[in-house]
Amino acid sequence: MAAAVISILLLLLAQKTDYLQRVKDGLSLVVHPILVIVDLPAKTYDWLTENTRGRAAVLEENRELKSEALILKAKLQKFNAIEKENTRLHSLLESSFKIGEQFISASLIKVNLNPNTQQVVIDKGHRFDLHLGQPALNEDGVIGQIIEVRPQTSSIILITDPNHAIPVEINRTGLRTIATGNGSKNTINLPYLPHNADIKSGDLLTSSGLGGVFPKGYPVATVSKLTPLQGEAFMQAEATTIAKIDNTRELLLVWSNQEPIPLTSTAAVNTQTNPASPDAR
Amino acid sequence: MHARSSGNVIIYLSLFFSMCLSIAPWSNSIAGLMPSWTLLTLMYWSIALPHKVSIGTGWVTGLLFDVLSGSIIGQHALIFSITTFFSHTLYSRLRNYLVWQQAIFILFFLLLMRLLSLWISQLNFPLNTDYKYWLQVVISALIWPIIFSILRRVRRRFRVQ
Repeated sequence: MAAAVISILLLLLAQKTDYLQRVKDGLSLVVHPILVIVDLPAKTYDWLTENTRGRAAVLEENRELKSEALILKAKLQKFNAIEKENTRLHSLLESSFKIGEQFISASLIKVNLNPNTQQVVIDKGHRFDLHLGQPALNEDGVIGQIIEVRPQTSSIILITDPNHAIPVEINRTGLRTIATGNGSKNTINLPYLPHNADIKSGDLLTSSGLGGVFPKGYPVATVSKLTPLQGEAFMQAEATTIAKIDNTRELLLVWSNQEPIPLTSTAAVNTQTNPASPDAR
Repeated sequence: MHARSSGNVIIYLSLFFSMCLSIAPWSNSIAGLMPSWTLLTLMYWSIALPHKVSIGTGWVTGLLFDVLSGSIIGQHALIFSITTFFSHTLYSRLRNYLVWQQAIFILFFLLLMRLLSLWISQLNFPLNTDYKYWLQVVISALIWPIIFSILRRVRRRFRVQ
C-alpha cells in the first residue's frame, strides 16, 4: 500500500517538477553496469573484427582514408573562402548569422531500452556537457536529438519516431515545412504540404534551422512518394531519411553557436551607411 | 546465516539478468514482442518465496527498471509493487495451480498491468499502440512455464528457501 502511494507520488512529482532528476542521475549510475554488460557482445565483436584484420587490409584502408582526407581538405579550402564571403554578405544585409558549429563524437550503445519508441543510447552524457535537445548527426545527415541526459549515457530520439517533428526546407525551392516521424525505420512524413506545393520525388530536404534545435542546412531526407488525396486539405508525402541508423556506430553531437556575429566590418559598414545610428554597445 | 545471504544473491542475480534481457538490442519489430522478463522473474520469486521477496523488493526493482528503461519514475515501481502485492495475497492458491493454469492467471493479470502501464505512459506523450503491444502479454504468459521451470531448477540447485 505504502509502495503504491509512494509510486503515485513519484509519478506526479516526475510529471510536474524536475526534483527527481538528481535521484534519477544517482540511480542511473547503479544500473549503468547493466548497459555495459548488454553492450559487451557487440563491443567484443567490434574489437575482434578490428584486431583480426590483416596488415594488407589495414594498409589498403589507410590509403583510401588518406586519399579521402585529401579530397575533403581540398573541398574545405574553397569552403573557407565561401564561408568568409557569405559572412561578409550577411553582415552587409545586417542579418544575424550563425558561426561554425562544434562537434563531439559518440558511439552507440547496442541496447533497446524502450521498444515502443524509436530511441538509441550513446556513451556520453553530463560529463561531456551534453544537453537536452542537442541535435545528433552522422556523416550522412540528421539522426535525431537528445531526449534524456544521464551522467554516463544519453538517449537520442530518432527523427523517425512518431513523436518527433523536424522543421525542414526543400533544398530546390526553399519551401519550408515540417517532417514528422511515422514509426517506420527509414521514412518520415510531410503532412503539411498543400496540393499546389512545388515538390517532386527526389527533392532533398534539409533542416531549416527554424525552431532553433537543429542547425540550418543539414540533409535530412529525400522525397520518395507523393500521393495527392482528393478532398483533403494536404497531400501525403513520404521521404526517405538519408542517415541510416542501422549502419552507424559513431555519431556526432552538435553545439551550434546562436550568437549574431559581432563583425568589425559590420560596424564599419553601418557607420558608413548611416553615421547617425548610435553604436549598439 | 550463510545460506540465507547466498539465497538473496541468487534472487538479485536473476533479477539483474532479467533486466539485461529486457534491454537486449533486438530490432524494434521483435523487441516489442519480448516478454516482460523482469516482471515474470519477480513474480516467480514472490510466489515461491514470499517471505524473501517483499513488496519493497518489488518497488525497488521497479524503480531501478524505470531508471534503466527511461520511463517515467514510478511507472514500473507501481506496477511491480502491485504485482508483488497480489502474488503475496494469492501465493498459496497459485502454488496449487498447474503451470498452465498459472499462465492463464498471469495472462489476465498482465493485461491489467499493461493497461495501467499504457495509462501512465500516456501522461508523457501519446503512445502509438498496435496489436503487438497486447500480443506481448500473450507471449509473456506463454513463456511463463519456461521461466517457471528454469527458476525452480535454479532455486532447488542453490537451495534458496
